[in-house]
Amino acid sequence: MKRGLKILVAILRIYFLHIFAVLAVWLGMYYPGLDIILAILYLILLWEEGKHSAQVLRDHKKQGLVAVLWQLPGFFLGASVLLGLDRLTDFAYYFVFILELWHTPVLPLVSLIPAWTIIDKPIYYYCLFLMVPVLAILYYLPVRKKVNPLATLTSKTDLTVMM
Amino acid sequence: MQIISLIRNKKYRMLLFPVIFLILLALIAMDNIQLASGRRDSVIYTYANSFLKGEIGSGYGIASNDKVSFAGLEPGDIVLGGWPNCAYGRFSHAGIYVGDNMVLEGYVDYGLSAQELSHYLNYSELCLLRVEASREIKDKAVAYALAHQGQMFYPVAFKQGERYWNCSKIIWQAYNVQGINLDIINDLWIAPESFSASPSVKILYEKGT
Repeated sequence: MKRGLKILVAILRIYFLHIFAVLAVWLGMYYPGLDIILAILYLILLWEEGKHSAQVLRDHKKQGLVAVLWQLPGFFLGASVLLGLDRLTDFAYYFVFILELWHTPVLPLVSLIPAWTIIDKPIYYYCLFLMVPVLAILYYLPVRKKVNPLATLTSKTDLTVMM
Repeated sequence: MQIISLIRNKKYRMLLFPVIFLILLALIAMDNIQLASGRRDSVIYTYANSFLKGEIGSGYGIASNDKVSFAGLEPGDIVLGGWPNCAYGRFSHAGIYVGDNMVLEGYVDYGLSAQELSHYLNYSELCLLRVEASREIKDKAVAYALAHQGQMFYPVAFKQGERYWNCSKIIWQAYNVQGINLDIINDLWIAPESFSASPSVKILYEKGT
């Protein structure tokens, strides 16, 4: 597979995982407790997907690029709110609204944080912005682990070639 | 063990959340089958109808400067405000009056919080409601709402659970735990409109369409 195509497939896979996690975790909130289990499952799948991408892409820059492109909606919405750019539009209130919906897969875990407020804002509000880099790093982290080249070989033919 | 191998399989793990989503969708649909029988007053019907008309948000309007007196409000009363073209009914926002010109309400950026009552003057649609209950029940409902300050606002929060809230759910739950259900149709979600339709409330004041 060509390198560009590998990156595209990695991006599509992580978007697919994320969007269906948004839907599943949201419905999971109907059964309190199930949402927390699904949020933990999401983080495990994200980690596994990061490991898979690390093996396929074999380049920390490409893995980082995929992580950034995946969290681009969150970064755009978060930066717009923090810099006040959202107020230039007629839809200012919806930016943080959509940012919260984007982070639905991890909200069950954020909802367990005590309801303290800092400078008139609840802690979960700050988490909405922090989650963008945290999730991107979680996806990127597996690339930092040294991958045994033999572990990535899948067939006997590959082993023969190596020998 | 099988779950671990599912998670590790690069093909199957992509199907986990779509499958979970479909199963939950079916379970929730079965649990709320009564809403499928043409409940035109259900939130989901209102949303769908508004969506077809191109209305998807809480509506927009020009700030109204009408002189409305809130002097007669008592703690536990419900305040509804609305803009034209709101996707989920005549009213887009709700708050429970907690005394001292403050209402407990929900916003994404403030969570559940006490805010100035006066901002309801800006709404073109306004309704003040009194729940028909004893003073003791109303005080308990107010105390319940205030005890949840700082908790998470989530726009599409289901009625179940006590970790996600929207402006209407906190009011509904505050009275529901006291034994007063303000949602007569047992809807999937609760919207500000539900309160004005409840037989357990009396309208103190109303303006708008």
